[in-house]
Amino acid sequence: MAYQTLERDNNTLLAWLLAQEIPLNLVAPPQVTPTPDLTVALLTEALDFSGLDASCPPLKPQSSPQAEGLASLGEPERPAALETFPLSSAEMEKLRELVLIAERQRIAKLEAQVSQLQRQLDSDDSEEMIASFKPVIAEIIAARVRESQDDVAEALYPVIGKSVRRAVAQAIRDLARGVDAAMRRSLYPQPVRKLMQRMRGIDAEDAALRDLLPFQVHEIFLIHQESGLLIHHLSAVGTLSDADLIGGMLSAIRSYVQESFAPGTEGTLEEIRYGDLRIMMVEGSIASLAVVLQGTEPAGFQSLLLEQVSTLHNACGRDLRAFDGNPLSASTILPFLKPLLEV
Amino acid sequence: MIQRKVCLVGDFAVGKTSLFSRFVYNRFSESYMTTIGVRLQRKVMLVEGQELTLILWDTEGGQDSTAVKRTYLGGAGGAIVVCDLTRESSIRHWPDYIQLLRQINPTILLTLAANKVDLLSPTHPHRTLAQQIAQEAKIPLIFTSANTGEQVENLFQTLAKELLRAEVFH
Ligand SMILES: Nc1nc2c(ncn2[C@@H]2O[C@H](COP(=O)(O)OP(=O)(O)O)[C@@H](O)[C@H]2O)c(=O)[nH]1
Ligand SMILES: [Mg+2]
Repeated sequence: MAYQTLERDNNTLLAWLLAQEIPLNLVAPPQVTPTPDLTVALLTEALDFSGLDASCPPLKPQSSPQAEGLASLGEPERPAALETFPLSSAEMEKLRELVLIAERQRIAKLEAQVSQLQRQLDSDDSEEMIASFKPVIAEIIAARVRESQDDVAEALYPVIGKSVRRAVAQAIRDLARGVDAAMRRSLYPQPVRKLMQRMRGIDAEDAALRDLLPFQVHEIFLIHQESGLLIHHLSAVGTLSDADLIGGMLSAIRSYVQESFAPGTEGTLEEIRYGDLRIMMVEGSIASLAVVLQGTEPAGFQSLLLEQVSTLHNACGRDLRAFDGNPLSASTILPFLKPLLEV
Repeated sequence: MIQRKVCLVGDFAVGKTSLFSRFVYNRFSESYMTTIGVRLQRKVMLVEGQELTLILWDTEGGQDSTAVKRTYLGGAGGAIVVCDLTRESSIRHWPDYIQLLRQINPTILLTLAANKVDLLSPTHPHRTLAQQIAQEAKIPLIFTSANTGEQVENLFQTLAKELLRAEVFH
């Protein structure tokens, strides 16, 4: 009986299954490693081999004396391969069907699901998809923010903090400019300004705020225009190690900006801003002033710089023209710079 | 404090930046990019007992002298014109740089740096070529190597002396 044949020759059946490319892990339950014995056990359980009996020759009988006799007759031992296990194609199909039916059904079901999903993805209805995801994601974010407010704040601070500060600084400057413009000049003595404020209808609180805005001049550089060499330097904060390079750097930046963005024009670089630090520059014919300041400058500060530069050129023009890198006496130059530090 | 602006000029990749950083930092090569085409550094020197601050401008070179940003050269008291001894064209471009510098400042003091001497055999004809041009232009010539450091200090000392000597005649 076939059952016995199979039992006797498990390896032959396994070879046949392999030749048919029937994956063994589909035959055995996935959590069990398929061994030849197990495979056969499962197969014999599932299949009715009675119909195969006639066409299934006794293969390589292991202990039959007849077979030994056959072998001793000099007939070459046939390899345990497919041709020794002839099945009609219909039978083979039936076998396949039986072995694979569960998997085939599962695959068909999955295919249907995948193509359904694919259709959903391909459709133009991404709006709908977003709409259906939105509440979920919003819920997740909200929960996360609730759970760890500090973390979120810390993560956002570098981005938001900076722009808020910049916006506030700009708003304050705008306010100050607005008040200053309305008053035309804020360099009038205090009582006069009070009066003007009232006459022009400027809000007293705005005006008071304007007077309180912090402003400080940190550094003043007098720079030889052509060479960028430093003529003199005054600092409110202490010594600056690279003071003698700043003039060169500013003049290099000015040349660069001019040649790159405005070739052939006679513009000047008036201001460089870094956070709420600014470098304000005014040019004279030989020397220029660069002032590092923080906060909101009083109205008319730039004109004051221009005035001072021209006064300096009038008073020390000859010295400035002769400047070639040799120091100019501090006593001639500094009186023109000092007042600017005290504005 | 006496200061002088000194520019380094010359074709692309002749070794201007290498000489600059060898002299200022005593290091051969330093990788950096200058977006505005110039790098500035100060070096305080003692020349014959006199202190002198050089404000060095390492400009970006191009194919030839036409690529130099003229505004970077303004007000320079001195300049070092560099060539790469292994590239003949960079030596032959020397007169163009000299002319350009003198056009901007007729009294500018110059020194020629024939660089990458470490790559040249002692009898290489490019040495003679460099010497000829230097002699015709009557400008001091120093054979340097930013790689080994050979003659780099001397190069800047030579120019610094010229700058201070001119000071005496002032
Ligand atoms: N062998 C050798 N290589 C050098 C010397 N000076 C510069 N170099 C190399 O030449 C290349 C260009 O140098 P760099 O200083 O950037 O030239 P620059 O464009 O004139 O500033 C770099 O790869 C340097 O390492 C030198 O004296 N000897
Ligand atoms: Mg360079």
